[in-house]
Amino acid sequence: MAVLEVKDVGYYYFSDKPVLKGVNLSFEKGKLYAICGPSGCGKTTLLSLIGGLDEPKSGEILYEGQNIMEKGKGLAWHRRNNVAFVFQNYNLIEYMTPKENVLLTAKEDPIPVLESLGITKEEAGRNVLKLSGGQQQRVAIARALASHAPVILADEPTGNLDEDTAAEITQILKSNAHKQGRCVIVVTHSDAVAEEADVVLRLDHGKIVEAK
Amino acid sequence: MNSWKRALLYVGRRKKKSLLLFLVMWISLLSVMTAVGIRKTSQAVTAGLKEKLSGYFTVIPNLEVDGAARNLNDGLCKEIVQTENMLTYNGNDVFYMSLPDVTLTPGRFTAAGEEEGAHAACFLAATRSEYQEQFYLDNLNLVKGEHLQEDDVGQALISTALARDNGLEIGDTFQSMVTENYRGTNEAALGNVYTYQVKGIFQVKEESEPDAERAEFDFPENYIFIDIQTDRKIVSDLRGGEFDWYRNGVNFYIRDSARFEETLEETAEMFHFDTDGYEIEQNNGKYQSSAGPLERVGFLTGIFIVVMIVLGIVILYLILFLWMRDRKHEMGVYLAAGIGKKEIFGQLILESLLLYAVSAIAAGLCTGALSGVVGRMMAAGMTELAGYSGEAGYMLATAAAGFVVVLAAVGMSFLSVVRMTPKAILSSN
Repeated sequence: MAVLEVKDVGYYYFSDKPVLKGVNLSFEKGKLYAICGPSGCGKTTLLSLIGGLDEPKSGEILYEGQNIMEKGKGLAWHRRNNVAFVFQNYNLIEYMTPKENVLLTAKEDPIPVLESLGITKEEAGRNVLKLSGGQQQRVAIARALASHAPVILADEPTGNLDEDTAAEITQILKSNAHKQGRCVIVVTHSDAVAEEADVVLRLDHGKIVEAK
Repeated sequence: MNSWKRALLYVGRRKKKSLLLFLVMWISLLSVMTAVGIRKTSQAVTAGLKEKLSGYFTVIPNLEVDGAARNLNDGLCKEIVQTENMLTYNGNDVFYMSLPDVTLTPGRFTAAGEEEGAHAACFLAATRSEYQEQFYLDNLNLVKGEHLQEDDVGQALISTALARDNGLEIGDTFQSMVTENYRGTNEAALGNVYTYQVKGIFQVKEESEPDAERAEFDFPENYIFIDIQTDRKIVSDLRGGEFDWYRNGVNFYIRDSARFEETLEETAEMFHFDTDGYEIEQNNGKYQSSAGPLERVGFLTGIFIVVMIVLGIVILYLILFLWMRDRKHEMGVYLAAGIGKKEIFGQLILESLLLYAVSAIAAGLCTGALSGVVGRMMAAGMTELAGYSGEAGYMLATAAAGFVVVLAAVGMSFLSVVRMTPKAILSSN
């Protein structure tokens, strides 16, 4: 059963240049999805709409059958309870420690989830800027996992990482999809990441052109 | 993590930015509080100066009109000063008497070898000597002790020259005696001795030199000011009958000299001074010559305070606006993490409140000291006005108003960020 559905969604920055046109997709728990395509094709925009960072200009996005913009709940509720983000540039709060960054979304002690991702207790107490890129991305993933959100949205999570670290991060995301039963959607340019995905969706000029 | 925790983390970790914001808030508050304090001080000083420089008119009874002088007593005077815009009164009396054991500044009688005249002084009685014309017009200046008041008995003010020549100090006594040439109409008073205690010592503005052409009792250095109660006793003895009115006139002082003419007219009509029984002399010169500068001081401090308030608000707003713009990305991360706009706004307010509370306390403490210093400078020379220091009331009001400004500044600058979607915020790094 689909946890997320994108129904005839369209988006534009300027009305004469649509970024997304009539996109229809569904996402299930327990799978890793990769959204690929050339730069400017609308991948990040699609991910943002799914995550409730913005509203579609047309169509609707459903979470467990309900529109995410429904009154009484709204996009903030959707971002807090249904989805969690991992960004290419980590988007950690620079003056906080890894532990404090994870506590932004965590409902319990963040140390176990940090340690499960290879961040030691000592490292968890340092300022995040003192960690390597790979470590910072692990912290960002820990923040997403600690929220217990059923859906994880990752926008180029390996974009700033070396090959080995990128592979590790990809495995972490895949493991969360398969073993934790989450729906993990990754926007990526990387063929290596796309190869690990259960479903690859290709976007071009705002439309889904391939799904396998 | 709740808003309090995030606020404390920000203030604690972003020390330089927190310090900058604290300094801006402290300086803004200090400027405004000090400006308000100075304004209040200048208003107090101006009001005090206005009273100090208050104009007065003198009602002098025509002794040839029956009853005119007798009417001019303390009862009537007290009734007059109860009317609107009247400040106080001082009644005057004058007589001459000998001081056999007191050395006076020598004059005509000393030069002529006339013993009685050489010791004759002019006694000026006053209800309250600080409002006696000689003192009020600064011809004489009290340098030690206190002025005579209405209820004093047996008290006197003497000059520095007389005190020096006779070794007299505050609290010492001296005596006068009714002698042949200065005895009034009652022969029975001849030989009466009256004792006075020195309550104050005054300095003559322009000291006189011994002058063989001038009578001793004409030298200001030889003036003896006495209280009105003692005067009444002595004059009653000299006249051989009760005496409780002001033969030599009464000075009536007006509170707000800007309304001098109007008040004089109303008083004269109300108490029938506009008849043949009385002559009225006006004196509003001091106020008229000072009114312009006083008003200018008030105007300038008013401008100063407005400028300080506007500057404080503008600087505070700009700093908060730039500070908020700098944190736009952070807001985007919070929004993406599911933290609501209200919670984020609450965090920002708490951060500002933490810094503002400390800056307000620091500004309040500094303002008390600064306003006091400035107030004392402004009131220099006017001892009864010195010592203004910040009142807690106006400082609290200023601090509260300042917090409203901070709230508005944080709100408006937050609005500029929060109108954007989280996607737009995060994309606009």
